[in-house]
Amino acid sequence: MFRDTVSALCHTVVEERCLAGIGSAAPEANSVVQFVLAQHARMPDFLRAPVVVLTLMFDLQCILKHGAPFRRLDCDQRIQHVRDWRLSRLGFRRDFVRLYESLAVLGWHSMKERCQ
Amino acid sequence: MDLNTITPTVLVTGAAGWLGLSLVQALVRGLADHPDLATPFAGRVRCLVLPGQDTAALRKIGGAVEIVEGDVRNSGDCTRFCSGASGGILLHVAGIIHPKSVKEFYSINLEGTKNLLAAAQEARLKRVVVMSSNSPIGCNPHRDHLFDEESPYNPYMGYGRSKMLMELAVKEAQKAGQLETVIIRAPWFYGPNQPARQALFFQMIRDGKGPIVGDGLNPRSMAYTDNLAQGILLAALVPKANGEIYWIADERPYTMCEIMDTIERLLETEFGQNCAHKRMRLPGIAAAVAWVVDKSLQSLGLYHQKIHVLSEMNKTIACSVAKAKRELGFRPTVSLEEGMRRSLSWMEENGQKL
Amino acid sequence: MAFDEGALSVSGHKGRHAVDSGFRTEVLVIGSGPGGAITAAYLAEAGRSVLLVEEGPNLALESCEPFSLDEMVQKYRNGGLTPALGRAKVAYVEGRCVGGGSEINSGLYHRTPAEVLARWGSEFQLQAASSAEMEAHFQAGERDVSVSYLPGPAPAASLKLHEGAVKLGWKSMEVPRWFRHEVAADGTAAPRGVRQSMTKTFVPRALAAGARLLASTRVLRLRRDGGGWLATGERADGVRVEIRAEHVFVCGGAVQTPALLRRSGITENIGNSLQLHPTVKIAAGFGEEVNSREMGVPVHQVKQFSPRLSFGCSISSAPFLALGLIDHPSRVEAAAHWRRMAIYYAMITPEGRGTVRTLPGFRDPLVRYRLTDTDLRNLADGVRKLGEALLAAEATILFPAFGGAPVIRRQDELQRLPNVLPAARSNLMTIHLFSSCPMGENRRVCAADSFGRVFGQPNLYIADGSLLCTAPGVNPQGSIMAFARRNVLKFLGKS
Ligand SMILES: Cc1cc2nc3c(=O)[nH]c(=O)nc-3n(C[C@H](O)[C@H](O)[C@H](O)COP(=O)(O)OP(=O)(O)OC[C@H]3O[C@@H](n4cnc5c(N)ncnc54)[C@H](O)[C@@H]3O)c2cc1C
Repeated sequence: MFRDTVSALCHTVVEERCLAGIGSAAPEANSVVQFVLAQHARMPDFLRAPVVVLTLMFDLQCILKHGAPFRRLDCDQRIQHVRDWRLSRLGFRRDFVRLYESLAVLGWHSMKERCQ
Repeated sequence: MDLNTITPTVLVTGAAGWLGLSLVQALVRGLADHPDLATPFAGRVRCLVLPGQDTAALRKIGGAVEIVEGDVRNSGDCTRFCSGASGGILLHVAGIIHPKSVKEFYSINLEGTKNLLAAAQEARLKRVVVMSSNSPIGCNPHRDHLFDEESPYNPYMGYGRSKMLMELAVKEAQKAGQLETVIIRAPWFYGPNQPARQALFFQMIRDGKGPIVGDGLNPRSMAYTDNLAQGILLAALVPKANGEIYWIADERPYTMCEIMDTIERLLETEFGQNCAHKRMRLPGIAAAVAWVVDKSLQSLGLYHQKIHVLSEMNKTIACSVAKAKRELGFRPTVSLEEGMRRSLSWMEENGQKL
Repeated sequence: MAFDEGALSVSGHKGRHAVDSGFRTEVLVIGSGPGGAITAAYLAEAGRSVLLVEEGPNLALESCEPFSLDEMVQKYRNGGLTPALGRAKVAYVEGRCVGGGSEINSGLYHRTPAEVLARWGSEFQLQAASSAEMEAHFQAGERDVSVSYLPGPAPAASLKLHEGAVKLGWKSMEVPRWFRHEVAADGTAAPRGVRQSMTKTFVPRALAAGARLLASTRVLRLRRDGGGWLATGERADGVRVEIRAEHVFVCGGAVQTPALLRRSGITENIGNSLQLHPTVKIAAGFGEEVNSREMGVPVHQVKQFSPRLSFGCSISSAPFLALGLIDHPSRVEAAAHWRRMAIYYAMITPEGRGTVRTLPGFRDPLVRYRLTDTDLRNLADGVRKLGEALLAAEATILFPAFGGAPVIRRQDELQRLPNVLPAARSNLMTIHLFSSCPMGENRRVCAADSFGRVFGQPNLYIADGSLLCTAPGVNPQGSIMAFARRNVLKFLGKS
């Protein structure tokens, strides 16, 4: 569930922030997911579990609002949910989105550069 | 480069089946869709068919087609099939999707493949291309996800597990170092040479009984048989494919709704059918129930085709063909509408009734 | 002689719980960054038996592209995901490989400013460290790592900032670096050269003089053992390692050194006064191309407001630019124009302090850091002044990198920037950490004496960035190198 949510989240970030003006589906999103999961495993050990818990919260919180966990939403709804957290008044939500966004954006752009 | 320059013999299992026939046809007549495959293969094409299977269509293809009767479950048959074909390339597309019991999954997909690999190694074949499917990988974690060749195993029930073990057996054989291997993973395929039961699907759509589970917007990768044949033949041909896995499918996945809408439109506008313009809509829970039932049945060693298909109806099963395009030069030229058009024309020409 | 993971075979293949206790040495040096590598080299060259232990892998400087994702994965601690927690989080990064931070840094060299040394002398009672007394150590370091100016033109983005500052009448300078320039400049890009990291200089020097290197091995704890020390550690493959040494130099960097000492029960003034240089960034767009793949390292720094504020240009590759725009989600498309963009930083010398603590049951230490209100004001001032210089350099658009920041196109729009950087959305980072175990004779605050001898712990020394009494306000490696040399010569009785 954690991995699936991370995957859905990374795809959302790539869709919203990386693909603008680039067009067709870029399967590199999968490599981004792998990179992000690998980075999660490298994090300071005492932060790993809290991040997993927060990720699951992020996923399940959608059920209240959209009737399905984040993983099951379509991309537009997911972008909306990410925005909600990004603009949240709660700092931990903003930090959460920022963590994944930074990793996914850095990963995606680095991989893109490597492809060229 | 074409196949004629690398091998005198191509061996095809499951040759009298749906995909096998298309493959042998593509081989013997050439595939106009791809420059490297356009030249007909002039060498021997040795075909394995089940004893008693109808081979009329296969014989009609012409060329240097040899027919060998046998069953992959029988290692003697495999040895006989491969013998004297040193340097040949084996395209192993025989497999079972809808068996009578779960045991058949293993005996055919796994044991059968092992038998063939052993026989191929003994007969000093050059390369074996093995047909696998999406099932060892399961369903995508979310709708806009595409599987690639790095995606981890997550087999979907008995069939998926048997194919996963089959892939692992192929990797073992590859490691042994005497045989080149390539694994092709294909999703749902469609196209000419289909068995008569497929007509049922078209009839359901025409009669307003095309089943849509959930919102029907879940993407599914599909492979038109000639696209698939192209991928398999490129896997046979391209040197660097050795040891690799490739997803082969149409350029992009389609949603369930798009698939049914396309068929409906073709039936009405090009094949003179009156359509009911309705779908049989089932709530997502139906698939969930079917999933539970299917799983329970399979755990008892039983298999029920309709329940199994229903359980998968609302799942996303989509893959990326980027690696095949990049490394094999794969060019899936036929897409859903054209592929379905050709399927329907073939049905008409071959007297399958809608 | 260099050992690496696989090469170690004291008694053949080891299982997961195997123990390798065959190590004895006169001096154990823990950590191979600038502090450790220099210490090890001087010791070995003086004929001492030296074992240099490094947690990270032994990789060539060329094993990856500088400032790339691969580098992050191979050579950064925790893949670069290390936050200092507090009201404003500060993301910091450290090297974790043979050579430590010197393998991943920009190579910008500064001596410790004279007034900083003077302050260390008065506040921390740091002895024998006046400018005059440090002179020889600075000179030696500059020679040993070839500190030099760019032989050709500087990168365009770096010059832009310089241009803007000069227009405003501000002091701006080219900073020299530890680089060897072998290839002639070609005009557009910065001339290529080889960074004189520790694996290019002091690590090979130490090895040539007979030091042994044990890479991929982390020291977990130190225990007194007779007159000397017993260090227990763990190799990357899980094998436990035991090392007996007469003297131990701890050189793990400003976070890991206090963590190791605290885990070993040595806590007095250890890890209580971590300092760093908080940095806030601006991505700037120009009307012309200022960036290229071969841009290299920018070398100019604006020192008009130093030590309170310093400005410079950061690594501005396309991926970093995309990252730099993350607080401007509606401007994703801007990243496509990366050739006309570059990233700049404003760095402060803060009042804030931090702590390093170990958490029972966890490997990684907890780092906390608290910025003061003055720091947040200075950061906001830094953004505004940096913006001013960039607009003076004809930047057409500025994207300050903190949450809720306005996009700025004209001088008058700089007023829209806050006077105090909002702590919770500040998005700060740093690559400079120090002062977690300050040196000096002031026993109230210092962890070690004026030469790095840990108080109350015979034969135990610190020799890395942790010793710097306060944030120097300039890039720190020059200071770390000079003090490492000074202190090891003292140990050897040569000064
Ligand atoms: C991206 C970046 C750019 C920078 N740019 C500049 C610049 O331009 N100019 C400048 O002056 N400074 C710069 N710095 C800062 C500079 O690199 C550091 O200040 C310097 O490397 C610190 O040296 P050190 O010896 O204190 O510790 P480090 O370089 O951090 O070395 C410590 C080493 O000890 C190892 N270690 C830690 N704990 C253990 C243990 N328990 N067992 C075994 N080994 C251990 C670590 O893995 C590490 O390799 C930069 C830093 C970074 C990250």
